[in-house]
Amino acid sequence: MTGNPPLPPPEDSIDLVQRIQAGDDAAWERLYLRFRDRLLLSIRCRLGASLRAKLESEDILHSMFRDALSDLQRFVPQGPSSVNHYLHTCVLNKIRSKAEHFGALKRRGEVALTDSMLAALPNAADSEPRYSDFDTFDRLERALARLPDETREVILLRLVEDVPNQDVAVSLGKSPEAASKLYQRGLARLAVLMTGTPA
Amino acid sequence: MSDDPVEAAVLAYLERRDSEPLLTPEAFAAAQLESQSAILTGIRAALDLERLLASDSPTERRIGPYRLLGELGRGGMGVVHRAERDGREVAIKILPLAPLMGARMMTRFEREAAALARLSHPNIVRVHDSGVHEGVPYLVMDLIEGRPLSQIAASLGERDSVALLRTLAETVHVAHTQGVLHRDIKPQNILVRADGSPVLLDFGLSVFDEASSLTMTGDVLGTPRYMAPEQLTGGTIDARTDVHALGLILYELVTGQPAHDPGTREAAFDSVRQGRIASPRTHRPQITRSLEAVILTTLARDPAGRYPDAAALAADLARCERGEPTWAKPASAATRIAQSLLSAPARLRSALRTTLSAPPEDRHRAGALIDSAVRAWADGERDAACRQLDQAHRLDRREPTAALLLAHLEGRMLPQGSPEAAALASALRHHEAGEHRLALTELPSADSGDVRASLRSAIAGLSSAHAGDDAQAFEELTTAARLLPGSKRIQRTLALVCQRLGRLDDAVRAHARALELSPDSADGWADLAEVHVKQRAVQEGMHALARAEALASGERPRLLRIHGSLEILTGRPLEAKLLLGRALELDPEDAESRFGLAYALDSDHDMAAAAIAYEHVLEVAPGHVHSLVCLANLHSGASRGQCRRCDEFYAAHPDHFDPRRAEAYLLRAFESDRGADDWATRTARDIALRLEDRASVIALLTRLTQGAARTPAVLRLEEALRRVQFLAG
Repeated sequence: MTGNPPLPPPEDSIDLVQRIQAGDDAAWERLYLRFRDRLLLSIRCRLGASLRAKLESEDILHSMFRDALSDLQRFVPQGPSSVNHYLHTCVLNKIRSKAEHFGALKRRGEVALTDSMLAALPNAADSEPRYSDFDTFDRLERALARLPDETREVILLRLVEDVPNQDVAVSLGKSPEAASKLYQRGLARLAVLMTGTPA
Repeated sequence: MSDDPVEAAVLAYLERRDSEPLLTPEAFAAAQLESQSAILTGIRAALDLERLLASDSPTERRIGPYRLLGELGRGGMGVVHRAERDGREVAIKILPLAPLMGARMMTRFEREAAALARLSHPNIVRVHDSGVHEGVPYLVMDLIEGRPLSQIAASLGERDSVALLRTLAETVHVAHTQGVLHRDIKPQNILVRADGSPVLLDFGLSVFDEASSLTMTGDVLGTPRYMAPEQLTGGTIDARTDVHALGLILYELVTGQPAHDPGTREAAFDSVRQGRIASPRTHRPQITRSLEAVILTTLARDPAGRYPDAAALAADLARCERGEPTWAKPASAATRIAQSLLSAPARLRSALRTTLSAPPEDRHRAGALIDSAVRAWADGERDAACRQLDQAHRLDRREPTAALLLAHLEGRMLPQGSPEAAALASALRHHEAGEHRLALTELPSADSGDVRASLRSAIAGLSSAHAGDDAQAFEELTTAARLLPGSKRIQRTLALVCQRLGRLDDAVRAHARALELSPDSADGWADLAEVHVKQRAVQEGMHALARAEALASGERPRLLRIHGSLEILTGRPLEAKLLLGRALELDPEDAESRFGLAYALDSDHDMAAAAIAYEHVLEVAPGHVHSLVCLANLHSGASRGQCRRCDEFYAAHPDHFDPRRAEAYLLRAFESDRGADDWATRTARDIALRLEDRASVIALLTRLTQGAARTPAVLRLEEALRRVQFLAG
């Protein structure tokens, strides 16, 4: 892997949240920069083809962050991973809500697109996501796309969304050992795909 | 399982890494039969992915199975991160420069890490894992919630500081007993929990710090403020090195000042190398002398002068907390002056060195010249007095002070505000300004009739005492002491004369008066303790000895000997033998210590050894009266306090009784005259009373008293003789 993303100063996410709750706008920006690539990757991988045709991943990201800003005022961090968990949960909720929205429209035979959606539609599916570290995350996204669904899911859960193995196992309906094994296989495969040396 | 051998190998590494934390990607790849480079690249890519994605921050990464959460601190040796594994937070110390130190150092790391993992103590941070990540070693420790001592030092009082250091010393000792030295104890390496308990970090790791510093700039190396001299001079590093560091911390806590010059790094290096430390009380006079003694003992430049281990330091700190006498002895007056002047300008230090370097024989000669000068002055020969005092001053710069102080003390007799008192004060001022001649010319104007009479009696008494005429000295010094109650010198000499005359009660009174004037005199308290030994007043003797020990610096053979004698009197010959044996180690030629040991053996009924030991005394002091008498006593079978046992012994072994030899010894004892004190006489009488052959005793005592000078001892012997004759019918 070449080129890490531009590194913000090493600040604690919990500290950032507390500063946001105290009204520090700069902290909000830093939190956004810190998580945007990972959240964007997660959004891109989870949207699915039909939604990706209709929505820009960044719109979801921005929308999610707008909602999160007010919700964060009530958020009580429970540990070092809790901010990452929280933001990814917000992403999933946002995607779910969009999916339900479009599903309902489809059931009613309506199509409701926002102006931005309309503007983006022609190129939405082909547009490149605006990763800060485009080189790394684009390759990662492509590599993830080549993994089997279950393997991609375990990688997303553990690697990107920071879900503990125990919870991943429950989510996948597997034993913790099997979930762990699946994660290791996925990671090895992903690494080989990323370095471009697969047989 | 994948068909791709590279992917299979990456997977194999990922599966093994949790159970084999020391397995590095490089080592794993090197062990593969083919595609090593691709395998290594694949493994690194997997680890990079984890670092990039599965973290709270893009800057965070994983070290082995641990996820780094943020930096806690960094030093010359490495960086400490907060980290997490399976929901449990830990602290990880990463030593990024360790690989530069080579394979030997890496092996050492593994060994040290294993030793540290075995250390288990509530005040030592627990190391529960270690490993090498991408060639970089790391240690996983408990995450301690606390504040560095360096941050809270200013808020600690003396009592809290002493308690904290005691706990640390106990803790360090536990580690030492398990073979682990810290080598880098400093306030930054000590965390204090909310409940006030300290936790020591970084045990045994400074070895990597030292090695890494070789590759670093001086800025990274940092200050040597907490180093011991041997760490800079290449000496042996052992438990006493850690003791020294604890002393430096205690010094800083109780004085609020670092012990070593923090001005520049070079100055600090210089200060450490030379062991140049100002007395704690110069910074904060409220510090007790015993605590100061403890601190200075830990900071002795020579490790041999420090506590032998941290446990000894902890025990002394506990004594400080309880207000009991400490093992460390407060510095002598001279040492205290030296220490207080260490931070003084160079000129003053130079003058002090001159003063303290006068050899003993010069000091002795200077003392004699002072005596002579005082006599000359009292006789009106002021020029001669000036000349002699000047000579004394050249020999030993302290002596003019002594002479003028004597005059000053005598000046207390003068009415305050009188011209004589003013003249004396003026003389002292001249003296303090270094104008000794001028000072002496001022003195005669204070020469009132009373002062002259006082000085005459003092000089006469001192001269008689010096000449050995104790009876005459006693009369004159008693007068001088009445006229000059403020003169320490007279009171002390009078006490010694009383002691020699056997006037023990008078000696105690004179010593007490001398000590009122000079309560910091270790020798004075030791003199008093010796008198109490002769009186067999154990409690009073112990009290005086404790005062002497508290004031003396280091171990003194004389005090050990007195202590040993008191232990004999309390019926503890074993303790006595240990103390007297130690006194002899320090001064093998000291006849009194040899005698003490012989007496202890005698008291422990080890008669054969005691007899040899008494003879041993006579080798260095042929006329040693007490040894002669004790030998006679031994041969007579009348060991003090154990008559029945000896009687039984000699009844069973009549050949051992040799009245001729006993007689010879007693004769020699009394021939040496001045030693025939009341103790010797009493012993002779005891012998006489216990011997069956009283006729022989009468003959012996008759011979002893015939032609002898009519000294009090001989008079008492004659009384004993009469008593024996009476008993013999």
